[in-house]
Amino acid sequence: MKKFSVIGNRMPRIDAIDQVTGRAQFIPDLMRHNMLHGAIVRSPIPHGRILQVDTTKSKRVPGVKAVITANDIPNTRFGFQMGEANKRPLTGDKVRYIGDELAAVAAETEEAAQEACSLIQVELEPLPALFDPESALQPGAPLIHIDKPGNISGEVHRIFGDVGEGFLKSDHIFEATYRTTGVAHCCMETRGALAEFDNQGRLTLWSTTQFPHVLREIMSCVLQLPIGKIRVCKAHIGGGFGSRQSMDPVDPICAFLAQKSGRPVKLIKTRSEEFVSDRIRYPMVITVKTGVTSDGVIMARQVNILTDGGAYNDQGLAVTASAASRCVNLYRVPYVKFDGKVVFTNKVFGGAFRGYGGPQIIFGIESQMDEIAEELGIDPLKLRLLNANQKGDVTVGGARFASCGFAECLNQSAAVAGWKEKRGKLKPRGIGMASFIHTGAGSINAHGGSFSAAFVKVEYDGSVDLMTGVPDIGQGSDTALAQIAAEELGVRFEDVRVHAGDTAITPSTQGVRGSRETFVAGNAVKLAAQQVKLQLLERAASLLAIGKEGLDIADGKIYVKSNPEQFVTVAQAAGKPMFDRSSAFPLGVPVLASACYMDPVSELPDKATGYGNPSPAWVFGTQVAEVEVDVKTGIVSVLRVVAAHDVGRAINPMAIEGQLEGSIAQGVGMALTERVIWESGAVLNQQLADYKLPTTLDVPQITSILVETDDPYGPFGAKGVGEAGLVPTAAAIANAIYDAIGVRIRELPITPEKVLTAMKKIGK
Amino acid sequence: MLPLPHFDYIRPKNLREAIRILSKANGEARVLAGGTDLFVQMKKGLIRPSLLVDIKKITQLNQISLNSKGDLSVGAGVTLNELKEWASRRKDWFGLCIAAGSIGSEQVRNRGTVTGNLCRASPAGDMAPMLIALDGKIEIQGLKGKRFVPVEDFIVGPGKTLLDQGEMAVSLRIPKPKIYTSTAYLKLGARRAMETAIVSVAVRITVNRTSKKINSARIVLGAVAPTPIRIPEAEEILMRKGVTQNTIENISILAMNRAKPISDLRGTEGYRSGMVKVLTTRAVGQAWKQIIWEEVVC
Amino acid sequence: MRRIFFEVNGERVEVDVEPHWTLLKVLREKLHLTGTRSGCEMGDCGACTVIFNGRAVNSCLTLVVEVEGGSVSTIEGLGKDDQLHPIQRAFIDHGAIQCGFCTPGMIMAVKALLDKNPSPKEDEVRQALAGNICRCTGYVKIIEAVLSASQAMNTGEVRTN
Repeated sequence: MKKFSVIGNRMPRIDAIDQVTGRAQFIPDLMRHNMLHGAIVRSPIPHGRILQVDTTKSKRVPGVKAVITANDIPNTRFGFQMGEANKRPLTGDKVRYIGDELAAVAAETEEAAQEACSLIQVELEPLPALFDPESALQPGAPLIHIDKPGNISGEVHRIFGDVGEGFLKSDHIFEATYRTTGVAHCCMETRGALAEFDNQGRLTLWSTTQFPHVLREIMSCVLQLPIGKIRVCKAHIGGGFGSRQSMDPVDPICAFLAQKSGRPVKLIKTRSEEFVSDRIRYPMVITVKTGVTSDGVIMARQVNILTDGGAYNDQGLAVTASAASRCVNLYRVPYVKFDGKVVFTNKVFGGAFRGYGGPQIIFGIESQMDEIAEELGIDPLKLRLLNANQKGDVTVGGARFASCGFAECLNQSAAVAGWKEKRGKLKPRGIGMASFIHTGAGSINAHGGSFSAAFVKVEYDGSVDLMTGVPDIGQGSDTALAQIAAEELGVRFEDVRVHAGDTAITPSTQGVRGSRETFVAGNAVKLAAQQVKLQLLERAASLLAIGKEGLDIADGKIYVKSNPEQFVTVAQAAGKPMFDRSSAFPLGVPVLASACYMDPVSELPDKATGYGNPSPAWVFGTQVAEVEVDVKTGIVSVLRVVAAHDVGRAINPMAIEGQLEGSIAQGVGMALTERVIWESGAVLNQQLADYKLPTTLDVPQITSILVETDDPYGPFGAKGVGEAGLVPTAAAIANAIYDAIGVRIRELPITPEKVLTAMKKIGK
Repeated sequence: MLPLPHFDYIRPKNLREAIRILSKANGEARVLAGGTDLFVQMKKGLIRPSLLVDIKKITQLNQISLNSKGDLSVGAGVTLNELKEWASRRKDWFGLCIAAGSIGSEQVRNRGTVTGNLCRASPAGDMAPMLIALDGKIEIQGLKGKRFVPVEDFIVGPGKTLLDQGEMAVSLRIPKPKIYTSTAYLKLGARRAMETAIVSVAVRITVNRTSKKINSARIVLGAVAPTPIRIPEAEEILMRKGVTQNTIENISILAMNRAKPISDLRGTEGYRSGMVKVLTTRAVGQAWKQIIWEEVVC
Repeated sequence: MRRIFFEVNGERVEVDVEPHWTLLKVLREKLHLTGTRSGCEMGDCGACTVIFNGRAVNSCLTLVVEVEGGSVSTIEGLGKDDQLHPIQRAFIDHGAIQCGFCTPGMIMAVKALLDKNPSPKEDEVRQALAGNICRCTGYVKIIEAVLSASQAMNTGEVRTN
């Protein structure tokens, strides 16, 4: 195995010093000359016709400089995939959930803006509202969107083989329904934007977005401004986890207010506003039917998902399709049928959330795997090993695994967790496992293709500028990409500067999602760095009078391979400053390269059947959770999680561990305490005191095992694992609870009440 | 950010001045001690006092002291962490350490006061059950003078106390626990920190050293009624029959039946009811075990 | 408006304030110390943690007039460019930062803890930081960093960046 100099090192974050000193600037910290503050008026009812929005009184509040309603903005709509757009930044015809944006104000101070909002008089004619997908599907149910009969936002169907035949070949058939509910991202920085127009009508928008280039395109449609007049950039971003992979009305509203007032406008959501109006994980009702032989070989799987799409389109269909793909591709299943429906309801709508349908579907599939193991008398570990995907497999759905560490993850996590010693022996403690499959390189489904571009430039002093479209939302992309550039080029990590997520400067990428950036952006960076390396080698060749094949670069030195004492520095090869006439190279000719990585492996799934390999790399993993149940109170404590993940190559093991640990903490929350509590469409828990995120005292000990499978397509073999850590956690915990107290709970979160109720049902 | 509404602010130098200001304010003023509850309510728009009277510079209110008999006085300005840290080193008062330490976070406890928590009179407040278990009294002062009210009588409803307009809570007085007293405070929450109690139980048991009988007992439930509630019948049973598996079972069922929990964000009525029984059982058992342990050591 | 004086990071400051302004607002908007962050405004998350008269407090629930005459420490006062505080150093080295939004508040809570308890056990660290919510890290590396920093501070190890 080749030894790397930067790859594989536990590098601290490239912006670490700024973060620990508080110097890092987030959008709330940005000040622009003459800046105003924005605030939004939101619907107080879940469903209603808008009769009037009277802004007269609000305009008289001192300091108010702009007030807008739907009538003041173009009649444009947006959604994740623009063809399905049905949300206006300010709704004009109806309100469709409590929180729906109705009007907005920009004023000199936050207080003035909020006061003005309170004076905007909204007249609504309430309409009957629907709060769950089952009711919304009932014949005669009121239509939330008039063009969507049955309140169906969309459907996903997959048929691979005749699943009926598969069930006939099965000795045992299992069927059960699993439920997940709304989960909030709770980024520590709430969503915000700052919009400023220059004198030529060109917009600069700072946003907490995860996809600046895509956001620019969406803004262009919604604002009806050409792309060339829009620059989307960022400050530091305080988390995303998928929520910022959608445009939120905050972005265009800010821009419209800036346009109307002629001054920069900053709009930051309050925490309760975030709970009421920002994206959530799509709630799902998942029915899983699995057919197995007596030996435990899976013969058939049939899954039905009902997704609560909320009031407007975002990524409900894509998330449901992603769940479908897990259903099709996890384990070697010969016959699969999937049917999914996304249904509108009058509640806040979902969006992307780490795992993208994976945590939901895996909760179903992996819970059922344990139920199967129990019934068949097979060890859950053995059952999974028996059916595990392997390198080189092509699934019935067309997914192909050029690298696959499934079996290693199963075995290693079990060994480290003490599976054999503990399973069944620790009651009321228990251990349980769950595995998963996830994309490790994004997916080609989104926006038609999967690509990323990068610019790499070498300065006269040998330092390097890396321009990438990828915003670092905390996941560590800046650091990982700098590592890749440094490794490929042969310079020191400290000499690389990263410029990211600015549409005016950095080339395009589709954004942070699908755990794609290490792979896709990493490959782009690697390609660009390779080209720059070639340019440097050529210049050095002429300086050293030796053919470039005989040269290599390490530690900032371009050296002769057969005689490393002979070298020129990267700085010398890059050129000399302007006033030095002794330079061998034409003044100012930069060492610079641009590269675009188009994923060569995956193909767009067939529109009709869904067959195809949408991701060039897939990741696998297994988590083993150890829990203790207080059988009197029903409280579950997660003592430890051992997580073995197939990462391809660990570019930065410390950062990967951090991603896994953070994901697992989110998984514990999702499993036990986190849920959006609705009552007639109103979010009851709008405060962090009432939405239960795990504190330092609620998280388990976590042991991470990074399994390296050296993916042939990943940069240095790497695959992305930003989401993977969250996917199996809830299932592992549910399975551990079963081991501990013999109750099977199929609904998240597994609250103490549910534990006690389940125990009572089986007479405990 | 979420701004506070406008108000006037004054920082009296002594107690007399504070009381005078409160009396003149016609109910429009609020005492500002820690502010951790007050400001949250104000930011939510639930209350809008026009004047805040900051009592933190009134030195006499910042004292924790024991008189010659060993009775405790905790001034209205004493923070939860100050009491927690003081009580953590003193066996007699350990129950106060547990109760105060169960509230909020380090940051909240560094500002929020013991008296403030009591005066907030939340049905789920953590200080009241333990203060009642310890037979605490609250010292109230107003223009008409000083009075002492048992904590047990002080809270009359959710958010309501016996404080009249113009009066303020000045200190908490807790008699020195008689020898062989043990306390327990158990609080049920969804997480292990920063929680409002779903159910809480405070227990005090005082044992006669010669007869080994229970001289007096207190069982106080929190978060399952509009105010904290004592269960005198359960206390009687403990005194008459002592701590046995049987009596624990009986009193915890009694406590469960006396509780009047509601369903809200934090839990359903049914769950809370069941947890009264569980927590009472555990709290009594814990308090009892500590006494036995002490005896063995002594 | 009233003029008040207090100390921030060892320096005396003088500022005209309204009674209803929080310390958080004044730090960020009047003194331009934006390291202290607003995460929830309700004391539920700890992102706004500063040290006031030696104690960690939520600056979103503290009025600026309440700190008159007192001493406030924020993240900006910890360590210098050429010499980071061991806590800052440990956070960097142990990968205890991801998005960074909670980091200043977290570090100030740690500083307050170590000032009072220089050799905390793991459980004591968790208790002290229970009021600081981090959504990114799962707290694992934060705890590691704190234990490492306390060790470094006790043995007198000092590293420069």
